[in-house]
Amino acid sequence: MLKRYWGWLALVAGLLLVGGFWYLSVRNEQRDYRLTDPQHPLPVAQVSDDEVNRVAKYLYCPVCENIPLDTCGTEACSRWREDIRRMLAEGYSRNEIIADFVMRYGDRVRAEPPPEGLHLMVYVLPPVLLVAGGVVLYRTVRAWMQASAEVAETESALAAAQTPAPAVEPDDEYIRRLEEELNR
Amino acid sequence: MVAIIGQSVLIVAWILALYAVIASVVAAYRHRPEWAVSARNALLLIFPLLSVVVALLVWALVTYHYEIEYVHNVSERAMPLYLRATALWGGQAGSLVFWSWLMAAFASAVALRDWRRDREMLPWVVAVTAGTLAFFLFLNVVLETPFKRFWALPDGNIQASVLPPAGARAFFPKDGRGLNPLLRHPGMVAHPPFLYLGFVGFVIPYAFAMAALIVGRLDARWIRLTRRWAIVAWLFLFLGLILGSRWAYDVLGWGGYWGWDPVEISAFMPWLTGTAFLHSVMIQERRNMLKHWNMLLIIITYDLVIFGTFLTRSGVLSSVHSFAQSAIGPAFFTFITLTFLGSMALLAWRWNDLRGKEQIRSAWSREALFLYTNLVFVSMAAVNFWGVVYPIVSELFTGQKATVGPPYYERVMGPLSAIMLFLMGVATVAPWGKVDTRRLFRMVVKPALVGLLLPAWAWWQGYRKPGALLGFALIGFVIAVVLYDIARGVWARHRVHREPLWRALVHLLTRNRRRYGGYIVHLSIAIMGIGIIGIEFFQLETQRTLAAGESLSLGRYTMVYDSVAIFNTNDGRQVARATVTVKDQQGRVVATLHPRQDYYIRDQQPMTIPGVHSTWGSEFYVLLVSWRPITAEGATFKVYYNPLVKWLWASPWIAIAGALLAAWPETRRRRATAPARAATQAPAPASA
Repeated sequence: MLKRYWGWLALVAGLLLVGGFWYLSVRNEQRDYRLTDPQHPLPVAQVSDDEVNRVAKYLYCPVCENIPLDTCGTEACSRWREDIRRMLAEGYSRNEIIADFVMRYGDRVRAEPPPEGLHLMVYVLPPVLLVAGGVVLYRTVRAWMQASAEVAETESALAAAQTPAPAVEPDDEYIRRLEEELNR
Repeated sequence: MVAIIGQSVLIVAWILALYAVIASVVAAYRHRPEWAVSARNALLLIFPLLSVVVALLVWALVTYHYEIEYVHNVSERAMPLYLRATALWGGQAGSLVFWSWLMAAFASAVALRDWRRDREMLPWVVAVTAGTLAFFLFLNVVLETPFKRFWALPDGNIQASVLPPAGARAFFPKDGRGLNPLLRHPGMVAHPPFLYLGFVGFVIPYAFAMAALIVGRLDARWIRLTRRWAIVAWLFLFLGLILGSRWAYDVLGWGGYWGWDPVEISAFMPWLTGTAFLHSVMIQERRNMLKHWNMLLIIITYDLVIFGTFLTRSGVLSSVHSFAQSAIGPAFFTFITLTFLGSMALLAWRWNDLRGKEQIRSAWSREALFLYTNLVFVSMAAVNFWGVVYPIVSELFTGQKATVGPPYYERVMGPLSAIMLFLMGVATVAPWGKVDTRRLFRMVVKPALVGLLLPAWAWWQGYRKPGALLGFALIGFVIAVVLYDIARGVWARHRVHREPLWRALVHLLTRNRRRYGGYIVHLSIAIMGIGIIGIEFFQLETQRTLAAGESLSLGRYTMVYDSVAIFNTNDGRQVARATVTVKDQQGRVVATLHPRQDYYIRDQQPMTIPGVHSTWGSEFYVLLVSWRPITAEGATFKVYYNPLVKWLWASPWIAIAGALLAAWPETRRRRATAPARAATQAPAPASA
């Protein structure tokens, strides 16, 4: 009885595993934090370049193509990094800063589109694709193994008439196969 | 004059390519061998003609013919000779000519082979290669000619065209605009040729596949004929990708080697499907199965090659609108659609004839494992494809462009690579056909245990993230299993043939070159993985402004900022060159680095060249971000500590050795080993 559902169970387990990993890694990437609370702003100079880059890494330069903001060398980008520094000092959180940039320059400044609407396809499609590929592969291999088993049955029926083959030492078997391989 | 000759020769080459297509189709349909010969000769003529074109263009570049628009756009007098010559592929039109030229070279090499056994395929192979060539030459001649000249119109405007507009005078600029500074680097000089060689190399197996489909010769012959082409194409593409990464690491100044940029990915995708193809054809040769799949893979690889050129050349990446404006984009799009649909139609037509012996005797047999790796490779390619096209999809549907950046790719490629390494290790020792699972397990478990030395070493070195340790364990497993398999083979030959060990090794490697060449490539990929894990998991970075004499520490090093010098060079750069001293943990000076910023004054473009102290343990990578020129009191540095990345740079050499071993012609071998074969048959009956 259980055996009949085994494949479905494996499928669900696979989906959960892949989906769970996926979800966690997305969430981990978008984890929010703030340097200080808005009631106690820091002096701007106390926010280090490293703190700025940690946010800028997840933003793409609004003017250049495909360059993360933390590595972009243009004048405009260094001004944007100063914006980030000021906002961090004023107590904005990482995600608030990103939201502010998105408001000003559009979705394309995010390193990844927000997981909503059509953009969900970016997050959902790959794991679904992987699992679907796995299922197709599983079914194919199973069908081909069955095909092979049928052939093997007829062959073994034929072989049963003959004397059984002597036991083969694993190492000799390996050498024979190696020779076979080398002589192809 | 140069321009007129060049353009004329280009047109003749294009007409010849079209003729070759038509003549070979006639030859095949009407059974007229003389037309096939004629088509082949036309194809053979294209290479010398394009050589003339390339030579003319290089000559124009080297001898300052700035009246030609292309020369004007990509070169200038101040550039050194080697850069002026290689500016041939520094811009759109030139790189397309270069593509066509390489394609013609490969097509000629194929046309010159001995066709006696495969006469019926010849016309179709010629038709497909000449057709591809005709498409690229069409782009060259009609849409993107490198031979446009400048003309001064009567109203004083300057216009670029091949033929003079009415009443125009020839216009001779004194100097060119010069190559994009980012491209003035040895890595960028070598990267495009390798990449293009990889691209055009995959056209050859595709041409044979199509020929096989059309004439109905559906055995593994087309695979056997193009096996070497595929390996060589694979190697070139691989090296092209590595050279590109190295260039990014050295020039782009972001401390990394791979940024998941659409341009990189567009070259990476055909490499993925090409790798899958190299593996799955072996199943067809051995087991007479997966015939559909191999056809599909080579069709996809071919169209991804064209798609890669399309993505980088059509402007579709910057926006859908610039795509609509570029002439070249729609042409590419049409060509890809037609070839893809055409090939798929052929495949569908032959579908039933392609049925092979679709059987797998064990889920852990080598053919089954190859099948799983195929799924992983194709998934990787699909995920990359989706990431690259999604911004375009998003712009089409929402009107707003989205960016799909590294987090997306890392999330997918990390786990898939882990699965890949696992399969790579098991497949090394898994036999074909029937598998005794317990024996396979016994064969795998020893190398797996030995492989644990690598994560143990990593732990001891302080690399302790769980994902990384898992990766190291898998890499250790792959390396151990490959070495174990080679050692077992050597030992067996040593025992059976009483050969000395070194000769047993040489014989083993040269007798089944494809198998052991492949294993050596696997070693290289595994070693590359060490570098990738090092930099991906353990890269440290910091950015700080230092006054002269101040220091900062990162990883195992401390650097002291000494000074910065600012000077102008005679090729139009303003250079700020810092001097920093790097010390190790014991305070010993290990290196003096000179990170610098070159500001190309006319292009208004800064270029950040890192100073790197490289050891097998790590690379200490220093960028000069900004400085205060007058007082020289301080400079801002961005510093990366990239553990183990040197292994990444070293590994391609091993891959070269492995791929060459796998692709080396075996004609001499047959004769040389004929007696040896008789000898090796002796022990076989004893154990059977």
